[in-house]
Amino acid sequence: MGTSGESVAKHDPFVYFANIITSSVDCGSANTPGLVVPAGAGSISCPQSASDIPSTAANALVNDFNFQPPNPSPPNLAFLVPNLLDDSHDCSVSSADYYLNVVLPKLFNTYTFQHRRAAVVVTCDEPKGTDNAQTTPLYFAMAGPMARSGSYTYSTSLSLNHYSLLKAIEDNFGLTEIGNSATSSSGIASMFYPAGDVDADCADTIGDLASIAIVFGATSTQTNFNPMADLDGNGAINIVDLAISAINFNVTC
Amino acid sequence: MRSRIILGIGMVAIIIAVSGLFHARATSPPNIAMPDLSGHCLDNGVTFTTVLTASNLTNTQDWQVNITFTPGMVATMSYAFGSSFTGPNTLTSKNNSTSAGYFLLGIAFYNGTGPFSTASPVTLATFTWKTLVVHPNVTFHLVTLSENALLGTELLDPNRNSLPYTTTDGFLGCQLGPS
Repeated sequence: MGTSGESVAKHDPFVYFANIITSSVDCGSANTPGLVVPAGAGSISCPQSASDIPSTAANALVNDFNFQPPNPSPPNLAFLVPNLLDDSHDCSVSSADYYLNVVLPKLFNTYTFQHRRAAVVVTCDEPKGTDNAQTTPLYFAMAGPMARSGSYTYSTSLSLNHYSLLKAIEDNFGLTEIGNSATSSSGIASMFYPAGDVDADCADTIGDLASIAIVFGATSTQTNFNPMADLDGNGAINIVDLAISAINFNVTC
Repeated sequence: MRSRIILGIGMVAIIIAVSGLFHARATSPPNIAMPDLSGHCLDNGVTFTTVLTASNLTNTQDWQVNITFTPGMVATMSYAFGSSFTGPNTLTSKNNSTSAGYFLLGIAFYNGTGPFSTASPVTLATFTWKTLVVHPNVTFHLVTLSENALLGTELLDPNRNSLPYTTTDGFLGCQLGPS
């Protein structure tokens, strides 16, 4: 990683953890269940149009999310860090927009985002240098099968920040809430459909339980496998999926 | 004053230690079992019944049991969940194949029902089978989580933590079983 015009270490938080950078699994190729994928490294100047974005941008990440059964499952969490030209750090917001216009459609066309319970979050680490980092609102967008949309669009007056996003990630994976995430707003979790909501209608009902029961025992290699009923994403419809829906029964958006 | 405090701490420690012993005894893992029908020489076309039991269950919100059996020896005719698992707000599910030789059952309590506990043996399900050959020898194997991490037998508490258990396979055949 370089220091200008390329992907930079300072934007990849995981490279500051010794247990990650010394792990051949966590810091391996993009085809391992990795966490950080530098993207758009081929740019040499500020993109002026989508055609300036290398066609290979984020290809590694897209490959990860194109895993289809019976191949391995995609990573549960990925962290895509554009380079300084593509992330609006050194270039304009328009350049970042070109980058997203290339990358996001690729991502949404992957098997994961077409068939599995997934969502992508696009946000920034900070406002531009002249703005007050404490008070300036940051761009934040969520999309994908698990992001509420259409008639279920979510709005809130809650004040949300990066700790809120961290909290949502921690809660999703059943992890301990660390630092300020433990006391931050849980509003971001409400942007997802409920955990047991198989049919994405903003309610966990008997219909969702039945949707799981009808494919009970199916694995990802079988034709009757319903990825949306695989609530924990482990490649099998089993008692854990039934339990997730049952424990969230009657939960609505 | 100082010695009183120390004494008090000592008494608390003893009480906790004793209660821990009782706790350990009361939560011995349930044994999930199919019956041993060894010594039964059945003709072709005969129906028979097996009962899947748990020796006890503690704080069990959901369970699945995976039974495999030798294909071509017996066919599953019907099954029924035990009466403890047929009430309202209990979702039952199953996936079985006679040709592949497996039967997967699942139960989930929902809408505030559960968890289920009993210190006594409880019927999880009853199966009716039909022999497909003369004098079949069949092992009804209870697949554990260590054998099949996704679809092995599993008991869950209300927080979806996996609960410990042991298994006893069932057997049908003229000779003595593999006990």
